[in-house]
Amino acid sequence: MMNMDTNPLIEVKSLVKDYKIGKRSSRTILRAVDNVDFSIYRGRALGVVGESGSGKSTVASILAKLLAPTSGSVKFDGVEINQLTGIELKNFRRRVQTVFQDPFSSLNPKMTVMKSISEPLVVHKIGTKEERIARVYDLLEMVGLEASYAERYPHQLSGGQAQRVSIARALALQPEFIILDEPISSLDLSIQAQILNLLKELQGKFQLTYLFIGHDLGTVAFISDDICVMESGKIVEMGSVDEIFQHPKHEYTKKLLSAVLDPTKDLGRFLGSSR
Amino acid sequence: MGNLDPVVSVSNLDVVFNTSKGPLQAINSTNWSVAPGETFVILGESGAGKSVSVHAVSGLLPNTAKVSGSIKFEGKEILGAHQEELRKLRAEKIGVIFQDPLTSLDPCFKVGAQIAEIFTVHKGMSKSDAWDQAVNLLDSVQIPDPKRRADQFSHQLSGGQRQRVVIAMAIALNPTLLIADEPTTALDASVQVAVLELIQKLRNDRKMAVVLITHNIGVAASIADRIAIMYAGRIVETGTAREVLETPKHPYTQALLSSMPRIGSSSAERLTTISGTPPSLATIPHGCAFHPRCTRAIEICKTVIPTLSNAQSANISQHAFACHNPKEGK
Repeated sequence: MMNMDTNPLIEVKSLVKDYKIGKRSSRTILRAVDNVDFSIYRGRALGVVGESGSGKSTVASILAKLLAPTSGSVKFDGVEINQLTGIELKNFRRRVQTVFQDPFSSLNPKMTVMKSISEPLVVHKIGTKEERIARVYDLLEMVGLEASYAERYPHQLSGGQAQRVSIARALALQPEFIILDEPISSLDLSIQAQILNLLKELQGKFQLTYLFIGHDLGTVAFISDDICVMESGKIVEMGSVDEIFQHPKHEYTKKLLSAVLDPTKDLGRFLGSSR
Repeated sequence: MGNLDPVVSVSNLDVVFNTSKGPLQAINSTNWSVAPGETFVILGESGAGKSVSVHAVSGLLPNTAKVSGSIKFEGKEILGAHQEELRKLRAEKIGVIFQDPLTSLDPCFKVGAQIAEIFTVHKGMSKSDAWDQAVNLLDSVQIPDPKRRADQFSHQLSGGQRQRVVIAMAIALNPTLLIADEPTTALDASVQVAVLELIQKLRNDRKMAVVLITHNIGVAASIADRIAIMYAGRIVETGTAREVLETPKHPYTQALLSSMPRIGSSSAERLTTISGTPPSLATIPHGCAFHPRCTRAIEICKTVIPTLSNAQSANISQHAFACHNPKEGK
């Protein structure tokens, strides 16, 4: 998957996000993201791991331009995203999509699947009505749902089906970059592998670039080419999946890895003295 | 495990919920038991009947649930027993931990007071004695600086500490059975490890029987003596953790294990998947509930429900599985 492109699709430099917390008299600053630098090349998948509160999702929100950074620079295809306005901003919104953990909170309960998936097409004035309908059926097929699902409402879907709809909607505008924030964590065990396979297949098919956030290291390893380990807002280690997971250097990475419970290697790990 | 009398033994347990759309059978003729000092893990996906199984024992099912079969607690039948007697038994002998510690704790009371209340109500202790006892208990669940922590509210504690407080409350009256319903699902991985270690330590120190519910195979592997795999309201495979996870016999167990992405095997281009989705209780397929998703399904699977049995004997205390067409050999 090595790319000849010399310029990264996403380039993050000295990114900082501060939150003010507490009452006015005793206000303190919480640095959620602390001087983060990384790049993602086209067609690559970067996995971000770290415990809750490490700043993973904050970084994702800034990249999706859902949150303004305190300082630092985020470039998408060479252009600073903070300065985007008007048509350029709209283009950015088309090229970058997100999929979140809970599909039911990202889908409007009053909209059918057809309406949810075609909404981005309407917003961006793409195609005629007939073309949009045809496109929705294509997208449903792409994510492995039968055409009849178009008429359903979110409450008539299972978690896995709803997540497929969210993915279909994210693909509707043929984006280049998809931010996946814990996309399988709320799904049933037997469904997770289906969605992981789907994400990987789509990535290859459309040369997508992913930022994948997850807390299950096995899952992140499956999807990602590179891994970035975050601890309290900082990146403590970065490298290829094999480097990070087979030969971790930082103590925090080792700690994360030692907390992974593998069905084979950790069989009986806590039975200890009783056995 | 057969050397000790079980703390709980459940046989032919059925649980049916009466809903506006008619009765829904959540649990179908399940059998399991757990001995003192043993950890029994029930593993399954949402809706498989894990929680309903254990809360039939803890008495936390809603009124719409009709429970039938037999539940023996320390040898005594508790299904149909007198309400007041049950209340006392459940308060003193059964401790319960849930997934989200914040919903088990009252935000308006100091955590010390919530623990102390158990002692004033059930042991008739004075308030100050009960408080001291609460501090001791916080110490025994390894909360650093327990005196200061007892004086704090739940929002001042981290997620892991809150779960320790909930564990402290669950073991306050020295229960013989600890029910842990997804106790680490809401926690970070390293905190999960610490909490599982604590549960296992308390189990060893106090010789409690532990029933732990999880959907995480790694959690089950790390802590279980014995495992039951549930699917659509039935136990489909049960045995020691080693038997079930190293030599799984049921196609569902095998598929779950092989569909899990693991570190070190990351070069795989595709994961093995189970097609379709778990059935809802309203539409459980005829015959083996897993047959529409099963790669080994044969004609009989569509009509006849397989019983849980061992290839050699019908003794379910051994490795047993419910399948008409299991894979030969390993």
